[in-house]
Amino acid sequence: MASLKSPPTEPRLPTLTFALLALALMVLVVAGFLREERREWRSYQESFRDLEIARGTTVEERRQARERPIELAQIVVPELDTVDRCISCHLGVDDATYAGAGQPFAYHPDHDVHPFERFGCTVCHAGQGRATSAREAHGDVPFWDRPMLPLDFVEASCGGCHDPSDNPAAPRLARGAELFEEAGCRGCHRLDGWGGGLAPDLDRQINGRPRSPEWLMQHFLDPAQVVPDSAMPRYGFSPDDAKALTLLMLSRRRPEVSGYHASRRILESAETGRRLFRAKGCIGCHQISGAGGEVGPPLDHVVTRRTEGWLVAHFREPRAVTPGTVMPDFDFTEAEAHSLILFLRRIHERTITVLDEPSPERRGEILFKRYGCRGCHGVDATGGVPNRNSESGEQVPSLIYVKEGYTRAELKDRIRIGVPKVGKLEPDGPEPPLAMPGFGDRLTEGQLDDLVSYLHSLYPAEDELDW
Amino acid sequence: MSKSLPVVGQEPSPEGRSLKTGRKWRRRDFVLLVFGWIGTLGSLSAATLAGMRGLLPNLLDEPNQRFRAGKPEDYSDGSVAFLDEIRTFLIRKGDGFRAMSGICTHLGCTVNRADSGYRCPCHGSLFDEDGNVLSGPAPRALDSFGIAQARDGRLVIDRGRSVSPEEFLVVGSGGKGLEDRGGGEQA
Amino acid sequence: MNPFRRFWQTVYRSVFRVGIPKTNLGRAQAMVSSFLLHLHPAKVRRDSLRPTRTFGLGLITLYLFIILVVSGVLLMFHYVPSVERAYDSVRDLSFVVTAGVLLRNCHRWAAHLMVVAIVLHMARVFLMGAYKAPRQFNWGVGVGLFLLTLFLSFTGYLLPWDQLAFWAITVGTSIAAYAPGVGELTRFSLLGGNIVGQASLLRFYVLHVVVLPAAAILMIAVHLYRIRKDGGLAHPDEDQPTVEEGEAPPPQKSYGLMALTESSTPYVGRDPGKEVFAWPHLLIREVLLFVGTFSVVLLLAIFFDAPLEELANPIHPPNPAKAPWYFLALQELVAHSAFLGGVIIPGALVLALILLPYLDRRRVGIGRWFARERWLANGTFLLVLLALAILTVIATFFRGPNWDWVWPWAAGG
Repeated sequence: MASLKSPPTEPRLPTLTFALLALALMVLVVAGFLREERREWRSYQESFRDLEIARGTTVEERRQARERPIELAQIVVPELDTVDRCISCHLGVDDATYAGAGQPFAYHPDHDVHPFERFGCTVCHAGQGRATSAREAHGDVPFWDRPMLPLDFVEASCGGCHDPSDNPAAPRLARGAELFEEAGCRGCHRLDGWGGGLAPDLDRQINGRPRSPEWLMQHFLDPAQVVPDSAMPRYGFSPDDAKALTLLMLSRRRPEVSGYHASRRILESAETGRRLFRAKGCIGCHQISGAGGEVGPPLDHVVTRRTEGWLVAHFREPRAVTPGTVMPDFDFTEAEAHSLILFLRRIHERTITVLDEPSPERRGEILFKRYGCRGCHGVDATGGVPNRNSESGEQVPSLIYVKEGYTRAELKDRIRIGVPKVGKLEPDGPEPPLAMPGFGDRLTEGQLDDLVSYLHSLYPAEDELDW
Repeated sequence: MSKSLPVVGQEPSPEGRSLKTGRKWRRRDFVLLVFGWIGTLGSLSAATLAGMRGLLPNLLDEPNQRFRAGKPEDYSDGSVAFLDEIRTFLIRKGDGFRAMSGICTHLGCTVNRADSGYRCPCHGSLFDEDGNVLSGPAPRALDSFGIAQARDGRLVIDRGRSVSPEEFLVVGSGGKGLEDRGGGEQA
Repeated sequence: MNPFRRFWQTVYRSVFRVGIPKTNLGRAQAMVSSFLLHLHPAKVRRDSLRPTRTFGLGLITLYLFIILVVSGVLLMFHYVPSVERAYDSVRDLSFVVTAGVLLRNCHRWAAHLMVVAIVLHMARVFLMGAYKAPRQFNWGVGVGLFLLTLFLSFTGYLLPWDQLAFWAITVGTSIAAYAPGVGELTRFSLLGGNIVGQASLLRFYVLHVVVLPAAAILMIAVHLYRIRKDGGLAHPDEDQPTVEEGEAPPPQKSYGLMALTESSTPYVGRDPGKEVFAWPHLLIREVLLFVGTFSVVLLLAIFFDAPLEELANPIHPPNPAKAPWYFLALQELVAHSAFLGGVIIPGALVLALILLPYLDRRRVGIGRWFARERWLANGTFLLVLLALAILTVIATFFRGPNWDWVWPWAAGG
């Protein structure tokens, strides 16, 4: 009975609620600890340490193994913008005695060319180098678009830094690069900054919407399988060729190595030597096979006259070897000098020429492929690509017999202007979807000539004509 | 139980009453309260400590304690190579290798090679070829680190292990030997 | 007494002044002799302690702010505000830093919760009519704190520098650009350029870790001081149309120290049974609320990871690019009409909130939930809140690529 005179009553303190909430907080803090405490890499390091202790043969070795710290490790390569912590778990990579050991401790063979300390791991293998758990590091997680490449596809990474065309270590990638031009992909697709605009820009695709190796393989084998409404024809690539093209696509996946890319490391090859020989204008002063200037000595058999050491020194700094020579210092690198020597050896063997002049027909064929004519006129210019309601039998016409219908000049005009409006088969029917664009703004007069030569060359020889 | 009502204060006199809190401790409340406070404060300090634990880095942007110095044949006899990343001199005498810190024991500047021995540019300490103090404020000789040879033959300098300046790692002709010459470890 | 013990006593007294109080006098002295405790009155109304009066929403908001400051400072030790390194430093929180990911989760969820809590707190104050005299100014301070909270959340959103952050800020700042006259200038100076880049990151960082928290701390101090000076929580006793316009409100101090002796001073004349000592009744509830708040944050942090998408890519926006959820209602409005939705409506709402206590001066319905006399004001407020909530839900779940309408359950494929 609380009257004014009676002592004021006090409410109960919510001690039980308080205690329960404190208990909840304690449980949560412990849960937080448990979540943090057990890190995957720790257990790998522990088992590796046990392995090392067991393998130790002397007391000293076992002591060293026991003192092995359990700690994260990383390889930092600022030039490649790479931080790779793979070696926190893959502890046997640089120890040949772990050859044949199971993962994650297996030895990585052949790393003399690209030592881990200087290149890291993800440059070749891809994956998420910074991550410290297997799943995240191997990169098959959301928001990481460069998961590890299957071993069979690692070759693609060579193309990140090395020009595929003269890299003997990556033959399939080189084949892919060749095929890309040969099959005329560039006619419709843009890659490395140039190419046609009919089909998706591969530079944007590769880095905006990266695809898995499996997807790419499937796509090259049969585009409609993965992109149902794809306009890209089935080129009928063999599985090997599809893989080669897949490697080429994968090789462009790291835009951030582009700094490296720009300074693509020269690989020593005769092909590189020939390119240098031509680019630096050596032929202006030196003769090969009787062609060229006469300021310097002919070089057909220079490799038999001089030692390799002399030649290298000479290329690197002519005046140091031959004082007073008029040969300028081209500032060749060691690799470039070696490439020149390889080239000159082949010259001596007569297995290479300075100039590689293809015939006009061959040049025309290359243009035909490069500008994607095959996309509509067919792989061998035999036509057959459907074009609904077009007067030429609802197909893009074959070009085999153009020699009959057009003179050289007429044909050139036709290519220059194109066929902006294709005649209809049914006058009331729909507009045929394909029309031929004009190439006058893209082809030089000489190229047009080459193309016409090629097209005329398609005309079957007299005896092949089947009346 | 009417007695368990948290009321109380039987003090009859008004003056006295105002000084009393009008509450009587019950054992249950007390226990719960103490438990609550211990739980709360304990959890909070644990959480704070866990947050602060992150201030001790798990990975360093600096070279490992164990540093791979390359193969023995990369260093010529009688040479003193300065390894920039770990500020350490690698000294080769015959087939013997010794790693000596290039960090002055006074206040941590990097010492330079002098005509004979080493000199610290900061406060002028002078060390002899073996790292012993000749003059200046440095309190003790330059540290020497243990070297071992990895299985692939490369030298590994372990900066976590101090050894006596007399200790050399002798690399056998086969590049495999692992014998230490000289004595025990230095504190 | 031995000298050591005496020395210890001197030190203890110099810090705490009074020990654990055993009498009512001691309780009151404890409250007034400590800086932090003196934010509270010595005695509080008993019904103010009932959970359903306030649900502790203001205090929860304050606690979330404290959690944010502490976790934020710890995060600052790891974060690098540079375009090249920000994203990696955030990822390394989970890869390398001990408890780093928990720290980030705590910060992230506490920030979201704070936006929720402050809105609910505001709703509570409104629905109780607690913004009326003498609390008009404090309501204004509260509106300011609400805007600051949004801006703090917004500036923090950019810092991880992932796709989510980059495009949310791109969209968010573009909304700001719709303001007439100053819009473009605001965006330009906020971003330090025309697009989100290194300058924007640094600006958002400085705003997020120094400028805005400092402003918030200052305003919180004023807010708390004013609560005390304006007579604590609004209560139905104030519900009397006695105060004349322009006149200072009557002293609201609930219980002076001198009243402890239960004299018959007018203020004390009220039933002493209605009031209890802040020590321990208020304090234990405050501690309890903190433990609860922290537990919820920790629970979320342990079981849900804060999102981190791919590295920001200025060339490939996600489709649709959405602002942070608390701006989504605004984005939805802007999608319909840039000027009306982006400027007029939000501007009018904020202005209405600030002016409200000066316009609505009827002294009815104070300190009571959903007072019948205030049906018009409360109804309007709830309708606006509901409209904003619906817009947010629409923008979150029913907007697909190109801001087209999608059914969330149909978009699974």
